[in-house]
Amino acid sequence: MRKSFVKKPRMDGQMSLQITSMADIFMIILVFLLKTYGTGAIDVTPSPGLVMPLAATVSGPAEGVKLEIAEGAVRVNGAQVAAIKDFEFSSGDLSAVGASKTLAAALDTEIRERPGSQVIVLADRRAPYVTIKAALASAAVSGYTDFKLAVVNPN
Amino acid sequence: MMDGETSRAWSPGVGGEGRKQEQDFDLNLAPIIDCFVVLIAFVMISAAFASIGILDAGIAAGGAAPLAVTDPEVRLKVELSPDGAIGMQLTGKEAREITLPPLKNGGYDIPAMGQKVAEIKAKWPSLEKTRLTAENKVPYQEVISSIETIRKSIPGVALDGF
Repeated sequence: MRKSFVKKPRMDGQMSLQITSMADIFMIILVFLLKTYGTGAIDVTPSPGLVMPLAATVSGPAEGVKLEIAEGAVRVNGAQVAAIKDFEFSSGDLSAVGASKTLAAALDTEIRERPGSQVIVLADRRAPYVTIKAALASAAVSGYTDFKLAVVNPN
Repeated sequence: MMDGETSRAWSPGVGGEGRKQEQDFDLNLAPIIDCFVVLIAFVMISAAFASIGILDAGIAAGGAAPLAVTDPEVRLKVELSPDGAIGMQLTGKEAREITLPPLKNGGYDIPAMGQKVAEIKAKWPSLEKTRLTAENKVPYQEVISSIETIRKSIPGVALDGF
């Protein structure tokens, strides 16, 4: 049998993990995450089940009362203020001008506690326009004049 | 008590020993990796990958007329019908109506509307505001898409129909 001249590595039971490349990968991931962190115009977490509409926008950060219109509830700054069914207010809740009484009352309280004029509307993309109109009318009745529509940037 | 070899390796070299100090050393990266893992986990949990943007929209509501505002030469109103048709009404110095039929799948022909709006804006550069209305059942996504398209030519879009 011929003798092999290739030197076999000595197995001494100890091995050193090369973690320099792992540190490089982690650094790249960290930079990527920090770059994409908080690039939205508003700091908001939509409720589960809320599918926001898509639109390409270029806008700066905005602050204001967050009015959320989901399939079964209307929320102001995260707190449910009115129950709706299939995106629609009950007819008894609507006033003559098309505003929701319960939502207007909640927004009245909100504007008294935190004066401001801006409302950010986070509505589900499937909501009918009549519900959006009712929500905007309620905000207008309460004294809000500046309306922003929150969308998800498809890019 | 230190053994003799270690004490020689770290001796400052005084006393004429003449030994070279050890120049190679391994940086201990393990704590750095630990920090990275914790930071990445934190950022991934708290990050919102969906970038939320803002569309400005006014409402075309009644009320006292603002002072010192000149009437525009033309006014444009866009209306979304429930059957997928888009109506455009131009009033003022040029009065006409444009109706864009629905697409074959019943959807709104929003690119065609954008093209018409751009043509109107090119003809009437002073047009700075559009009123947009929709039938009650029109989904919010269609309203948003219309606002997005109109704003490419005309910056101001006011929601109407109140």
